[in-house]
Amino acid sequence: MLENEVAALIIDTLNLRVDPSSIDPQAPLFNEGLGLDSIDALELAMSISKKYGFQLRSNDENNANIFTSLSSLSKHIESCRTT
Amino acid sequence: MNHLPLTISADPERIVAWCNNEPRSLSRLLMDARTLDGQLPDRSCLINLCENRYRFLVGLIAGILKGQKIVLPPGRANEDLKRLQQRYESIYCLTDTDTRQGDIEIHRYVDPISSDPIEQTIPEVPSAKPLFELFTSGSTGKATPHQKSWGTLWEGARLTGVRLGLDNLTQAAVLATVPPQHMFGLEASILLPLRWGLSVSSEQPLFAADIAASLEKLPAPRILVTTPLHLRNCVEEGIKLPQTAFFLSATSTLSPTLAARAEKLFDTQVLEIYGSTETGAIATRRPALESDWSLLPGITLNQEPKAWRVTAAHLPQSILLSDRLKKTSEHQFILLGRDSDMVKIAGKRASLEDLNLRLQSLDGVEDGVFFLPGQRSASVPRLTAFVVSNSLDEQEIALALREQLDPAFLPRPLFKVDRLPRSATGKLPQSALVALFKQCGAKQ
Repeated sequence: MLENEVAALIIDTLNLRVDPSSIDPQAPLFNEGLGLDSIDALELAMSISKKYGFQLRSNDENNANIFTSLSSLSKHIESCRTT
Repeated sequence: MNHLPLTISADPERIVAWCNNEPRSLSRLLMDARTLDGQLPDRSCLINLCENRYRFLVGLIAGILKGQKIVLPPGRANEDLKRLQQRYESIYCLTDTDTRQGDIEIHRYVDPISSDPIEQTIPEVPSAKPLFELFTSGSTGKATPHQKSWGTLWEGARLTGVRLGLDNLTQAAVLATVPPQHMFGLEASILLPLRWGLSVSSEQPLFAADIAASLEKLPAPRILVTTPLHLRNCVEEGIKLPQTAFFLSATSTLSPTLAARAEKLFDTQVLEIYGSTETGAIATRRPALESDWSLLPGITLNQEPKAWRVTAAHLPQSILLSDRLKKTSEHQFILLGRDSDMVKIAGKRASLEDLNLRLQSLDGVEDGVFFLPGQRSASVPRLTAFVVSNSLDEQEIALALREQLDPAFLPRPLFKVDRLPRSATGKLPQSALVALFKQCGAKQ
């Protein structure tokens, strides 16, 4: 399932050392949730573009939608991937 | 008390900002600021959290007009705001995005309804009054406040602008990938435009494709204010960017290779600023061509037994730097490194000692230490932590740290260990931590 694959990619890219299944698909990835910041977002963007063949764009100025949760990020990847 | 103008040009039709392709004139900006001034609560301090740079600018001017101190917090964590609330009794947040429900008073920014601008005079700002407060450490707690007067910021922007040749680029439009709440972002995307009559984009793009799109919306000549991290993202994604006059980078040291690749790929000049929250910008260089930093005019560096001291007419007092450096000529120097206790991640500084104290004071943590490993390949440095705990697992410790620290300083990863390799005197030699890091990494 793509969600598990993306969870593994996040953990691998960001060196988080948590169990992929422990990431709540609906929980926010940033701040309150996994505590990611914009550096993580950029690192992730590069991993995602390598693996799924598209460049991340923010939906809005503060990038809120895509990174709302693992679930929303996975859906976004699903709809944009070229590989 | 002496005063300085809020902005250099009195032409009311001059474009000061771009909001989604739409120009905002100086008179519109001043009118919006006066409208907001009338709505803001009667408090002594305003925390300006606006993410849209035009709204940030409106909020900043409204705060100045109302005589409120503008506080730019080290982070957005609730903890950061709570501490500010303890520091100032009469404080509130101005925000255009935040939906947090906390103890702190929130004033939500509402875009004023556009109407025909009426004649506006340029506000005069007291030059010596400490109007702004910024913080140095990104970790909470010991974050040290620094006061800035309009005079200091204004003159700093003049010196930087002269060096960057802004006198020939007064029509330029600035796009910044950094927030205006930190010193570099404030200087480069707010003060330079006000001081030199440039316009600024309301956007703060993150990804390479966003940066390209935001630049496309601006007229030439364009200036991109950014960081090595965003730059690397643009280079590695091989994105196409519209023509720019130059890039201005700061927050962490830019590698000469990356700078040279960016110059070639984007057919531009990549310039770098050296500075700190305490001093503001003090030197520049073009890393693709030179390793030496050139001091801005009027700034002097003097060696003292423990550190270098920066003196300048526009700084209210001289300031000791936390970087080690070597002078190569009267006005030039090279950077050698940082004081070993200080770490700088994503432009935020923290003291390792302070981070360690916070880790060690968590409930259920017996011992712990932060460690900055050698740089991971093609990545920004991130901290690691080793923690001894009988009752908590790694995720619980990480969760507790999230309450305490800016995300930039959260350990990636955090290793739980049986004990720390403390020497007989209780010290933790760097070599022992390096060995422990290798050992933990191998187990992973």
